[in-house]
Amino acid sequence: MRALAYFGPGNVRVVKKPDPRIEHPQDVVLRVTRAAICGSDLHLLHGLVPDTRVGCTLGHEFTGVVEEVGRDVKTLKRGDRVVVPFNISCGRCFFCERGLFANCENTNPSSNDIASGVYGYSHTTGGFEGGQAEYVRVPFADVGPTRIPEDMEDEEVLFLSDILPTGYQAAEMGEIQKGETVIVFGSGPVGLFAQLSAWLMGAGRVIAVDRVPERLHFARQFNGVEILNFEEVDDPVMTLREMTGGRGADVCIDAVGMEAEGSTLERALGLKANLEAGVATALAWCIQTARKGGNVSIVGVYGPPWNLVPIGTAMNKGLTLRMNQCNVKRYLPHLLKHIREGRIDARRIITHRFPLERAPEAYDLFEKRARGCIKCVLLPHGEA
Amino acid sequence: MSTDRRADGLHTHLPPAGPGRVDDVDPTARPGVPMEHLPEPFPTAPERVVVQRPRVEVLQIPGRKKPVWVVSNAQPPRGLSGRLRRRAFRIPEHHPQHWMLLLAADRLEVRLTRAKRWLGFAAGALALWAVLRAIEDR
Ligand SMILES: [Zn+2]
Ligand SMILES: [Zn+2]
Repeated sequence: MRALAYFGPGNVRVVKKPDPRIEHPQDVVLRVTRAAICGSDLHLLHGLVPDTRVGCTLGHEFTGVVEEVGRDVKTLKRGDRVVVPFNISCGRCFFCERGLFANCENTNPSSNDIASGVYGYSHTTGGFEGGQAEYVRVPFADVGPTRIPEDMEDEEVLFLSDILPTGYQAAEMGEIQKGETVIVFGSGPVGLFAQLSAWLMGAGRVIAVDRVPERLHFARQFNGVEILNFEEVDDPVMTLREMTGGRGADVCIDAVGMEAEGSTLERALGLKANLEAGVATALAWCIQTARKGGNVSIVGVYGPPWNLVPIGTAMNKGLTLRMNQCNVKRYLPHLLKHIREGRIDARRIITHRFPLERAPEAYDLFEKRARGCIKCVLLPHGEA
Repeated sequence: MSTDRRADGLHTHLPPAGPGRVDDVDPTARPGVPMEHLPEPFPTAPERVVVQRPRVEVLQIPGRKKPVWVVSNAQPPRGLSGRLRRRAFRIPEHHPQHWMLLLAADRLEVRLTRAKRWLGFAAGALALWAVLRAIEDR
């Protein structure tokens, strides 16, 4: 089969690989119909995630058709169309039993501290091959994949694999109460869905912060939020405090993660000198613009082993910091209902579609945020 | 809120975004609240699980009590970078050295792969040159 593979920082290519096969009785193999490129794939592309091995296939957001079924799989059969959460979860360990599917302890041999197994996200999350390929192996097929309703198209539900539930969980962890003010840092796909979810949870004001004018424009159109381009002001923290009555926002959401812009010093430390795991500027701004006693919710991805974070400020302001990788499976039925009933039109954020062979070009476009790119989707088998 | 759908399944009347879209105001309507619930197995989780035996070397973090249930057989550790990775996995992950060694192994692997590729090109070019010379000399 053909698959997109990593060959070093800034270098991904489409290569031939052996087809995946059933390796465990609870596996299925999918023929991939849609595979999205995620903002967090850029951290891999930039070589920021440790143990990203040459030749690994990226991609953790995909839909597909069941092609082969392991002998112990009970709920799926050949031909079923499914959307797959990015986390690989066993469904019955200490953590899965408590709903913490992202923290499953049975799918990632390489780490106790990072996450469960994840498709296409380095050997730090288990080294499982990703979905930016013609076929992909899906372990624990009775737990992760969700069947796509017959009257729905793959692209309508594709983002249930990660960015929509991640954005929703971001808002949920903010414990938004009716009428509260929410600042969302980062207006990429996850930020957009966090803004939308904040409205669904009754926010009174939602402010989107980013530096890419097209993304802010899109946020205003898609979600009807207030916007701030932090590059157009001297001091974004002061501006946001002013915008929120001097006190700060009730809830701040970090939908940026480890490659934030905004601080030359931190970028030098984190991205040039590698003295910290990337850059935590967005998180610092969350802490600095939340009101005392407010909540900060983190879904932006940070790597090990450490980051510079103004934790003293957080402590002295009495903030609550909440964070996790998304427990995707918890949200699938609820968000599927929102999509079916027309409250969320997730597919609208797709700006570009590419065949698999042009995946490197898609990465380039997405990385540069060029041509108004919000979200790129790959079609490994064409329109089918 | 409108739920009209065209025959082709596309939504026609999306409600406007913005304040007033308040479907999940009640925290109990939010599916992840509380994030950790009382223990119960996922309804369709397998009752019995076979532990997958890896076909290749799979590096495990030290201190793990039992093997994980599924693993990936892709890109096992190899060559010099593999040796660095094995070393990294002798150090628990709360020590920064674990991650530093892994990052070093990543960079080394990329350089070696590139060098091998160039060596391959160079060898090919050299062979071609030798063949052309031989033809000319005839
Ligand atoms: Zn993603
Ligand atoms: Zn589990």
